[in-house]
Amino acid sequence: MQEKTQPTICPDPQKALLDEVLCPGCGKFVGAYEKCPYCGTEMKKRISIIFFKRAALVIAFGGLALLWFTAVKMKPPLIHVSDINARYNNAVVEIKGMVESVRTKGKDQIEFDVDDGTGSIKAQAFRGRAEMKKLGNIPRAGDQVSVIGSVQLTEKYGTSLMINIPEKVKVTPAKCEKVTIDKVTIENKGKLVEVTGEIVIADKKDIGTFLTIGDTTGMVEVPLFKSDLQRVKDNDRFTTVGKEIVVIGTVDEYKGKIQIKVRDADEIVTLPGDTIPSKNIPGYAEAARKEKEIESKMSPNMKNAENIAENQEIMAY
Amino acid sequence: MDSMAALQILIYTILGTIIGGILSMVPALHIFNVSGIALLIWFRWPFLMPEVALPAFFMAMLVAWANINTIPSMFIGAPDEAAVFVVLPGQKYMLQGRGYEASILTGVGSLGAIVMMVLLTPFLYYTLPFIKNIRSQNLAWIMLLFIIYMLMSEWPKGSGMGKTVWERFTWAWANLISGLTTFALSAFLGFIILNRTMVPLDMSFQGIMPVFVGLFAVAGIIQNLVSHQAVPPQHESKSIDVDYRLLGKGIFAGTIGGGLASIIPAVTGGIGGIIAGAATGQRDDRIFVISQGVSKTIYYVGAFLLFFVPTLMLSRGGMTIILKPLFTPYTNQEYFMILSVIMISGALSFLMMFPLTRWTIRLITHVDYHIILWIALAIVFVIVYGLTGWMGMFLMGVSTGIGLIPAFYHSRKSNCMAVLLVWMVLSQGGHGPAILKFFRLD
Amino acid sequence: MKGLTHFLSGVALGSFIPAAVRMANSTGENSYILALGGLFGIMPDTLDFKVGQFFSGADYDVDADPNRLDPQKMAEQIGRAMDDAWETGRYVKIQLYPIRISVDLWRQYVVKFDGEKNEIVVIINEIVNTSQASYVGSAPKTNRVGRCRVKGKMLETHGKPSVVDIMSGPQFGFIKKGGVVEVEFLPWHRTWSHSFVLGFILSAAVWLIASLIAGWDKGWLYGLVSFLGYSIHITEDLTGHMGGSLLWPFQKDRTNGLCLFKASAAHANFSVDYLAVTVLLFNLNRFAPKPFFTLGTWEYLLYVIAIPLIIYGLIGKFFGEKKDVDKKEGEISAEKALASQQQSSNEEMLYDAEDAVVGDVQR
Repeated sequence: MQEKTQPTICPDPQKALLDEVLCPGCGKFVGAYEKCPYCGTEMKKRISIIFFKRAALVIAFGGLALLWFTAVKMKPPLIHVSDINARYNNAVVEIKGMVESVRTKGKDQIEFDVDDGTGSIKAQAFRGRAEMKKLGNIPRAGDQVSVIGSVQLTEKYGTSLMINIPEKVKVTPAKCEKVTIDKVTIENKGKLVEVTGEIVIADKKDIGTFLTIGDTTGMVEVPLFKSDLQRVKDNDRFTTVGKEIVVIGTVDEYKGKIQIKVRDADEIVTLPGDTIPSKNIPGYAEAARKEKEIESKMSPNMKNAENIAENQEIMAY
Repeated sequence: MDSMAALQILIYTILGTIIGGILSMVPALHIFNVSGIALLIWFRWPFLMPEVALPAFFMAMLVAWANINTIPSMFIGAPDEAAVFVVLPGQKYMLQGRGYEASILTGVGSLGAIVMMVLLTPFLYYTLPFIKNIRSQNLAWIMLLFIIYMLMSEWPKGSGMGKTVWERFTWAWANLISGLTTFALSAFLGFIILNRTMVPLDMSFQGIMPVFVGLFAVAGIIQNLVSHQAVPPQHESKSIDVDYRLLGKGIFAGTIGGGLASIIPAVTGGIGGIIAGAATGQRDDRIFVISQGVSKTIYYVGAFLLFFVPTLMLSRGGMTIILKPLFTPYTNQEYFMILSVIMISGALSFLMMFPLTRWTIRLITHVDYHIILWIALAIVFVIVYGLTGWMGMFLMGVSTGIGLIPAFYHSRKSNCMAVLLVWMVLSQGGHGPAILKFFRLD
Repeated sequence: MKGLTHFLSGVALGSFIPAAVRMANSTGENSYILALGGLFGIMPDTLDFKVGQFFSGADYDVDADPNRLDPQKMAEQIGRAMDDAWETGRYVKIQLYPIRISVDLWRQYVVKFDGEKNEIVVIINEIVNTSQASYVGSAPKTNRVGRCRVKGKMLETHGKPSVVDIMSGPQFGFIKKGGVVEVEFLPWHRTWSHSFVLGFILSAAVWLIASLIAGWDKGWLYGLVSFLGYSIHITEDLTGHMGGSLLWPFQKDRTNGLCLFKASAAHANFSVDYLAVTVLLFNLNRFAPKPFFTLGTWEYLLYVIAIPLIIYGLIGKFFGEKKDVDKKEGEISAEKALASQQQSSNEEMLYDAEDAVVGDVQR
């Protein structure tokens, strides 16, 4: 591979150079310098380079100032979720819509789904939840939001809106209507409601607890998933049959069955008294029978575990 | 994978290599611009390419580009962000009539890089996931380390002329100040373009393209346009002036450099190569040229390859960003498929280097290379305007101004990479909102 | 050692502090604290090369005219400076400048302090490019070597000739000590900047600033990481020929190094770089809230550090350079020039002797 036939032959340096890069005063090489560093002679001939040197600075500083001015004046465009395609990747945009659900992860992460009527997009911030809490702009399901972020598209994770600045999430809290259970119907799907009811059934499953609450006008299902329950410290308080609770959530439908999708399990309030007589709840007898069936089906292990937990609680007192 | 799919992949690999190789010869045209255009064409006429061949086609273009684009970078001097360091030694070789040899040296480096990527497969599968996880948890300060080293390791050019301390100090610091100015302006430009969509919304996926074209390609072209360099006759050597020891050293240094660049965001093959050169103590021009060839290939191709490692799925590099919305690899089969694409395309593009270098030499010795540069500039303008409109042209203009500062004031061009590095360090460290607020970009 | 080696060593050393690693982790505070180790690891050389050297004014300059090269004149200029130091007893500094020919071409020359003959030798070499590759056949055909005998006895501690070619030239200091004139290479380098005391002062400033920003409970960690980075640089430099003024301003003299290997030794630098990176990864993992791998210290030391380094060493031993790589090309060229001059001088002496004999016979 070694070739010895091609030694590095010295080019004649003087021939390779134009007069304009040699100092007229001392004859030394000065390159693009405007003043000879050796003898101080001004290099009058270097106008083209000097021009470009100056032009580069003017363009860089002036152009950047103008760009900054334009950027400050420019507001991220408001777009519809349905407009987004692969060409929008990394676009900084604004999306306005209703929050469908909110999830928190890790120490400072938050993500929520926003539906603007044309589609739904996941807005997420890998950090900033604490900041948002401070700012009071952590959205809840049902709230109207305006979010500014950059569009991120991957085949694996789908489309999302990355929130870089927590302040850029503007929340308009949803109006919450106090209703009786008979108003929780398919016609009101998506509405945020507050319902007071007695826990008639508490069906504990692997994925969470499915409550059925009732008032004097009817009964409705309130699913509480594990992720909801884990965030609440004393979650046993609202999974005890017979207790009366106040639930805030959106009216939803699952497999043709109406349910209340709880906005935040932390918001569930357990009432001290017994304001709704069980006998006045329509269909209570059948529901109570179902609850007994569920309890009898509960595995001895689960029961045992519950008993142990209860005993420990008693001993702790 | 059935035999039909395999055949389609093979055909599109060859096609990608040929198209990528030819387009690589256009000075200042970046593969990511070409990919953007190719993708737009595919969106419009999806029947032109089956979806199964999409990664193979783009990978083949990338491999060909990493190999062959060094030719215009060296001979005409319009480098991309990874090749800025190879231009000077390349041009030195050219002035000595050995441009052909220099070009083949980088090609040998690229070939070495492909061999290394194959050999390193177990490392990518079993060791890199750990390193990636550790890196991910420490990204902010690791990227800051690159910034610190980049700025601190730029020494004054010369010990300073002048009679007084102040004269000598300012003389020697002129280039350092130019470097710092380039760094600061690039960083500020990054704050703006990474937080505002300055180009048309439906071209956001090419949003930073005009900036890179301005900082590196257009600035390089202008620098060469104002220089009055005659191209001496070039010798088409039958062999290259290296032995296996030098080759090994070059590949070793380049693999480290390219490896660093392919796993650390915003670090380019050039910067990685410089760090690896310092770590391995290489001073020989030939080792440098080979290692830059290796580094560039691993930086571009290796970064995209990491996306295909099922145990890793590291999303790094421009090509991954462009193609991520369209497909995600999940299996070992896809990894080995893409590895074979790299090998086929690498071998083909290496063979293409010989005639393409010869043609380039003939072209620049017979045609005034200023004309070639003007044509290249016109092509770049058309592409940038066509894809991103007047705003893109404006961005390119501002970036060119910044890119010209290191060229005319004698500092490192890698300072321009602050356009990505600084924002990433600050946002990873959780300071992004404060910075944007300060500059009223919130 | 090289800048990168100091830089990586500084970061690696900082990573031995568990609290600092946890602060740097993104699950912790995402702090930049460990980067300070790198910053301060490279700081002493930065202070020298970016600041210190410009404040070290020279009493004499050797700034040769590329169009009229005169090695004899250059040797005499250096000799005059040395004689000045011998006669006046004051500390005399001389600055050698590179000879620039064009944008990428430089005239290389070598300065040798010959203690045996008590003379300064200047040899003009080939033209080199900025990568220090020399152009064959570009050395002057005549008038290549200049010599100047000095008055006082010289003591050269650097141990090798100085090759001057690209970017900048070295500065020498001459000082009369006892009955000799000591030659100090780069008198501004590794003096005040390579002092543990200065390292402590700068780190204390970091501690103060960091405490004001991050709180007093954490500020000291920033200072400690900085000090460790600074200290590892000074300690690593002791492995070379030139030491440092370790306790400046209390001790201003520059101590000699342990001479284990040259600062630019490629294998030594790479080995330390590798060690630093692997140690850093190990520490980042073991002090992370949830470590990603569970390899024990000894296993890691064996499999990740020792075995690869041994393999690297073996490759270097069996496939590495066989020739004396420590010598720069310029030194080898200068030696050839001197040998050639010696040979022609011997031939001349022989001719003179023969001539004398012939003359005698003729007479």
